[in-house]
This record gives sequence, structure tokens and C-alpha cells, in this order.
Amino acid sequence: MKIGYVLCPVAFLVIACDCPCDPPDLGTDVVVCRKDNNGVSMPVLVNSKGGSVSSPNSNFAANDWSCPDTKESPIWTNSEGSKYTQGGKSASSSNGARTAAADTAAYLPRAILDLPFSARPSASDNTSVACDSSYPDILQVNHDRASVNRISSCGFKMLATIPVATRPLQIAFTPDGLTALVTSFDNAVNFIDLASNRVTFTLTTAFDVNPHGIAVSSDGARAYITSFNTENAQVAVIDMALRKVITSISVTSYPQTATLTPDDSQLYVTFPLGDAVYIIDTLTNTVARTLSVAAPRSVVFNSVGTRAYISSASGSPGTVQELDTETLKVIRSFVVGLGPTDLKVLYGDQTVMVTNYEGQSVSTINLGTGLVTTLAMGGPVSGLTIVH
Amino acid sequence: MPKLFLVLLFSGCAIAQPLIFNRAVLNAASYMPNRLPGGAIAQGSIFSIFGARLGPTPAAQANAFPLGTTLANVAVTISQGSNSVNAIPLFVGDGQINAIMPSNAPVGAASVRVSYNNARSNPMTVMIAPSAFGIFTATGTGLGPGILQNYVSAAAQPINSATVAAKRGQAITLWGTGLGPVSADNVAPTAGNLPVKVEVSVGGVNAAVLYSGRTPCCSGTDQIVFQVPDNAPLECWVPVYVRTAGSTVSNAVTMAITQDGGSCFEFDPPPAFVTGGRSGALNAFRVTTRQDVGTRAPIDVRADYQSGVAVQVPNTAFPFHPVYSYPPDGTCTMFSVKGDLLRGDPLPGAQVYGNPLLTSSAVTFTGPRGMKVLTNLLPGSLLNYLGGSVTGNFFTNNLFLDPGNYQISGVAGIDVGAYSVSAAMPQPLTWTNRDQLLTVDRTQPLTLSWTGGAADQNVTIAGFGVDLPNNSTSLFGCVAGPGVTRFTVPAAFLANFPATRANPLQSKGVIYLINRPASGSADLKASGLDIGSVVLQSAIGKTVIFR
Repeated sequence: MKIGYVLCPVAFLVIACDCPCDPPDLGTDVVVCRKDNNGVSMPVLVNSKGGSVSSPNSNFAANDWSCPDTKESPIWTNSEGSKYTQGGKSASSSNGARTAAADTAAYLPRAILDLPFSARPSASDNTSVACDSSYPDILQVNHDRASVNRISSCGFKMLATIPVATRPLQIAFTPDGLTALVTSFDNAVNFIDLASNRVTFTLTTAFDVNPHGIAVSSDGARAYITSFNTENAQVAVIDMALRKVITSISVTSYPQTATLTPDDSQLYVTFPLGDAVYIIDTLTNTVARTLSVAAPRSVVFNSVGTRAYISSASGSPGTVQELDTETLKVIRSFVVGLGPTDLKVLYGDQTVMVTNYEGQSVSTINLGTGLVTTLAMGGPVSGLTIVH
Repeated sequence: MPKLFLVLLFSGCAIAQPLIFNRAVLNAASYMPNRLPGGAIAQGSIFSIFGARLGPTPAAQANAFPLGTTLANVAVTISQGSNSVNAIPLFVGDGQINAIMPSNAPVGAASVRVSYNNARSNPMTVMIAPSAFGIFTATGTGLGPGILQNYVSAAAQPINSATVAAKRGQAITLWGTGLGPVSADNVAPTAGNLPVKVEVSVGGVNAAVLYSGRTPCCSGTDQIVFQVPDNAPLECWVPVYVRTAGSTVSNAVTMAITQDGGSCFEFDPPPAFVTGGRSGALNAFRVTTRQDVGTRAPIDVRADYQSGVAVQVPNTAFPFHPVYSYPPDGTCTMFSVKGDLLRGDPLPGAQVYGNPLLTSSAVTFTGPRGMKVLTNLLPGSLLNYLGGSVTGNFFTNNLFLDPGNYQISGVAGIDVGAYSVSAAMPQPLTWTNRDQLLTVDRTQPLTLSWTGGAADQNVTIAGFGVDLPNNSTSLFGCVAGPGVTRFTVPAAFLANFPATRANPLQSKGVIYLINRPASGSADLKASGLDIGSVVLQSAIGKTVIFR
């Protein structure tokens, strides 16, 4: 919610001001997906101010909900590195079988996302959050069950389970809030009508295109998907009016997440296995720059696009890199938990939150002070959405 | 983290590849953000590219006609689909290129690339228009005194400044770029009016335009000759802007106009920081903002701030400060710049550069809510958030700057002596049509009315439009003189405001009324200062949607 920007630094009043122009942050709540010790997946609410965790007021069975899992997932790694195959089965490796979820790097970013929302007054610090039916809903992929859950963020009530093409991965919304696009690894992009909670159109891709990451431009005219494979690694551009792929950009193996800059002029694509982030110019659909980043999992921008935050799962613990998008230089590196994955910049650009999948924690980065606080979540966490 | 590891972790891009900085292709005169309506690059105009490794060190400059499409192994290509043209570089250096956008460049979104020693840069998207004018400025920022020559005779055409003012009726030559295409960009231009409609506003008064076209000396450079209107305001910083094709508004610059052409400072003493010298200023202000865009219900946010600075300002031939160089009463000025000014990004030139003067380490404010001792942020610099409140008691109301009398004092420091000043924090105005104002039509004049305050007060009207995705802010500032309770902001001052986006988190739009009564100001007199001021102000604002 927008609250509290005031006329601190502006002309006609002061000379020069690098002050905290907003009144104190009133706190923002985020939702992550957590798997507990019994393997039960649940969404949980985290207060970004105090780091308190609210248990879900759930009225649906645990089986209805599935946080991202490695079972049958086409994307997984093991301790010796990445082993991927087109069919989603593990390639031969020295240790053969897939290990348990807790100690692998199964990674399905953005399993849950915020819907377009209406603003609401925020609760004060560290108090329980009162919510109502006007709160935004959350969509979450059931990767193994070929479905997408629609869940109320107030009480975490299951509102609908929407069948989609097999092995769904990531979600994006059109800016009008009417349609959700869901990538399915098995050669499809699902168009979900959010009024009816039904897939009204399925864009079937070529057999050697495995949709994974997705981003939609702010004018709703274009969508970008990554093809997460090595045979035909590409970023495909979808004309949203025509609902077809109009061009593709060849890239190196296993492009994963796709994130547009706030002005839509560039698309940052992560290559967690190639230790790279590509910057694609969206006017010419060409690779403008290649950045070397170790095991990048996700990218997020501040509101004005002058900073990019890149989660780097390399090292123990992992880091979040703060990149100056003008000079393309790293300004700061924040040590967070193990396996930092999904990122969000909270309104006001003063706070970055990140889920640490392997670290089973959520880290909050105060960009003003540079301090990082990490909250244990009691299970692997992935997906991150802001409840405004 | 060890530096070496960080380097390995994020080694970045190929070192030798030229890099165009993000959104750093701009009109060479106005530097207006390219995505704003007036910031497009005009066909045939000079534009600047900022980046790294763009050209040689030392820089090279074109110095003879015909101009080529390469200079010191630097070339600039403009592409739109399969259509590609070469720009004409005029100046090429490591961090900056100035070039002429070819007159046959495609209109609309195009891609700019730099090639240096056969290494190609990243592409950067730029908007190209048939015409979009920028006025060159003496400050080199796109703000402040314009490059305008007072015509005295063919042999005497001094550049207008606060000390070399123009007179009403005098012919002025204004320098800029962006009037539009010509038949050839690489040869010395032919004199003659270009076909685009040109209007010049001087302090809100339309001036007679005597010439508008290329200057014969210089490719890409335009001259507009106009006559200072007989009813133009007399002031040091009279705003001047150019509108082309009936709709595209340039940056606003300033010019000095006096009755006799002498120094404007003779009748209008300069405020602190505008001219050189040892200057000091202390400001305190309360800002009350009604926020009803992107909120479920209206919220009133109040915040108290205080700032101060003492610095040895270097002398300059073109004194100007974007905050303190007010336009004349009854007129407006405007700025369109990169950054989010509502979150602390500074206006170019707003930060006072010079040697800081060492004041005492603290300032004491004593007023209706007691006493606060405010400490220096940096030597000679103060900045404090004093308190705030939000409707609904979201957090503790700890406001400090209630209306009333204040005693402001400091003990002697190394450079600045002790001082003690009295001033009054004014009551906020009552904005009578505030609640009726939600959507602002950027093509129409905007009328605001208010009551309250002192009879001698000046009211400043300030509007801000921030487009976060494009990292740009447009603002207007108008001054209503004493006794005025109603003001109409001309539509031209809204022309470069970005439209508010559908997502309320991506835009900021707000308008403020700020009252400045005489009782809220006082001279700050202390040994070691040539000039100083204390100003206490109260602002009332409201969020709006720009359409």
C-alpha cells in the first residue's frame, strides 16, 4: 500500500536532502510456502517488520496443498552439480538417485504470486493482521498435480483448483488482472481466466520448448517465456493479442527465470547452471549484455529500475547481489541464508526479502543499514508474495 | 565477503565492450528524460549518449565540414526494424558522445548502438520525434539560465545573466536543438525558418518570434530569435520555454529582465546560495498530505522536517539555484529530470557545492512543543526528521513543528559564529477546492484556490508527477504573490508530466500549497556568514491522478 510519501526532499523547501522521506515503515506482510518436518506444505504469513510467523488458518486438507517438490520435477540438482534431461528424468550421475528434498536444490521459484490487489490500511508493527474478503488471492502451482490452486490470502481458504497442462512451473499476470499465465514444462503456456478460474486457452509450444520462467510486459502486449532445456534453449516472445510465439531468442542452456525491468526495456534471464544472467533488449530482442553471476536463481528490481537484486545460491550461505543497472556493477553483496531463491522488494525500496530454500529460512535485508535478519522457517521455503 | 570472492562471483561483462548507460540517451540541451513527451530526440537534433568506454581518451571533436558518420573510430547507429541510419558524431569521449540524430532517422521507438574500435555496445531504446526542443543552459544541466544573447548590436550580443539583463522589447537569440529535420545534416546549415510552429513564453507571456531555424554555423543547432514582451515580468529568473508543433514543451530556462538592462540584483537582492559567498540557511517545515490515490480511504500524513547548510559558495557568472531562485510572482517554472524527487533524489544544482563552513555541532529549536537539539549530519549540514503522524494512529504522533513562535540558536563554531533567530511557523492554508481535485487533465489549466494565512504571504504551488518505471519526475512551481487566493497553472506546465499508471504503486502524483509569510522568515546573522536565512514553512498537499 502506498502510504506516507511526503514532501521531504523537494524543491522550494529544502536544499538537498538524502533523508528518510517516508514516515516509518508500517510493516508489510508476505506469504511464503513452507514444508514442515512431516512433509506437509502450507502457506505461512511472515511479518517483514518483526519477522513473526503466523500459522495458516487453513480449512483445507494438507493434500490439497503442495509446495514445490522435487518429485518427478524436471529441474533438480544434486550435490555434484546439475543433471538435467529433456524428459525430466535424472541423467546418470555418480550418486545416481535423487536425494531428499531437504538437501537438494530443487528449485521452483515463484510458486506463489500476488494477484493485482486493492490497497488496504496496514496493521501496526508486530500485531496480528486483520484481514477481510477484499484481500488479494494467491495462485500457487501444484507442479506434480498439473493444477493451480487459487487461495484466499485471508484465512488461506482454498477457492479453486484449476487443472493445467502437466508440470506447471511459474505464473505471471496480465496487468489488467484478468488473466494468469502459467508455464508448463510439458510444452504449454496456460491462459487462466481469473473470473471463471478456468483455462480458456492453451498455447502449445514446439516439442523442444519447455516453458519455465515467464514475464508479462506492463502494457500486456508481450509475454516472455524461457525454454528450460539445452536442446532448444531460448527465450520466446509471445504476442498476447495473437496468443502466439512471434519470435525467439537463442540463449545458452537452461534459461530459468525471466524478469522485466520496470520500464519493460530489458529482460533479465537467469542461468543458474551457467552462472550467468543475460540482459535482453526487448526492442530488438537481442542479448545486450551477459553478466557473470554464480548460480543466480532470481532477479528483482527496485521500483525505478536503478537497482537489481540477484539471488546467488553459490556458496554457503548464499548472497543477494545488489547491481547498479546503469553501470552493471555490483554495489553490495548481502550474506543471507543457504540457497537464496525468490526475492521481493517491498514498497519504498528500503527492504528486500528473500526465501532461502535450502536454508529453510527467510531473510530480510534493510537496504538503508545493510543489515540482514534471517528467520528460521522450519522447512524449505519457496515462493514469495507480498500481501499489501 | 572477501573482495576477491566477490570479483569471481560477479565478474561482470566484457571489459572492452562499450556500455550505454540505462536511459542515458538524451537531448543534448535539456537532458529531459527521454520517455517524457518533451524528452524525445528530434530528427536533426543534437543528442548525448552517456556511458563507459564509448570513445577515446582524450576525447575527439569534429571540426570541419562535411561531417562524417565516424569520428575517432566511433560510430553511432540508429535502428528501427530493418531500417538503420548512422548518426553524425560531433564529440566522442570515454564517457560521453554528442551526435546529430539524422534528419531521416525513423520516428518512434528506435535502438541506438555505439561502435568503438569495432566493439559494439549494448542497444538502448530511444524515442525519436519530428521535433522536440531543448534549450541550452549555462549550468549544463538543462535547468537555470539559458544560453540567450541580448541583442545590442551586430557586434555586441552578450549572454543574458543576472548581471547582464535584458530589457523589455529587446531582441534575444535563444540557442537550442530540436526544431526538426533539414535536408542535410553533415554540411553547414542554411539559414531560414523551419516549418514547425514555434511559440516562446517569457514569464507566462507569449513573445513575438522573429526567427526559428538552424544557425548557419553549426549543424544540429537551432536559434530562436524573439522579442522580450512589453509586459514581461522584471526579475532575475524569469522562466522561458519553447513549445513546438503546438504541443511539445521544452525545458524551462531562466533569463534576467530589468527596466534598464542592468543587474537585477540591484532591486532584488539575491537569496543565500545563489551568488557566491559564505552562505547559511536553516529551514523547517511541516508537510501535510492528503493521500487518497492507491489507498482504501483518505489518509492524512503529517511530517516535520528540518534542514540546514552553511557553505562557501563559489562565484559564478550565472547564479542560479533551483530551490531559491524563485520565478516572479504570478508565474510558474518547471523541471523534468531523472529520479524520484519525492524520495530524495536531488534536483540538478540543488545540492550546494563548495567548502562547508564549520558551524556548531547542533542547532536548538525552542517552540510550542518544547525544545529539540538537532545535531549535524555532516560538517555544515543538518537534516532531521522531527516527527510525524498518520490518520488512524498507525504510529505515535510525535509532531514537533506546531504553528507558533520559535527561537533558533546555535553556539559558535569554527567558521560561523553564534546566532539566535526568531521566526514563526505559520498555520497551514485551507485549500478550498482540494477535495474536489482528484484527476488533473494535463492538457488543461489547473486552478487552485485557498484561504487563510497572512496578508503578506507568498504562496508557492508545487506539483509533482513521478513515473517510477521510467525513473523520472516532472514538477512545476508557481508563486502567487501577497493577497492572492486563487491561481491557475497554465497547461504548458503540465505537458511533460507523466500520466499516472493504473497500478498505484508505480506512480506518484501530488500537489502542494506552501505558504511563506514574512513572519516565517528571518535573516540569519552570524559572524563568518555573508548572507543567511531562516525559513519556516507549512505545506498542505494532496495526491492526484494525472491524465
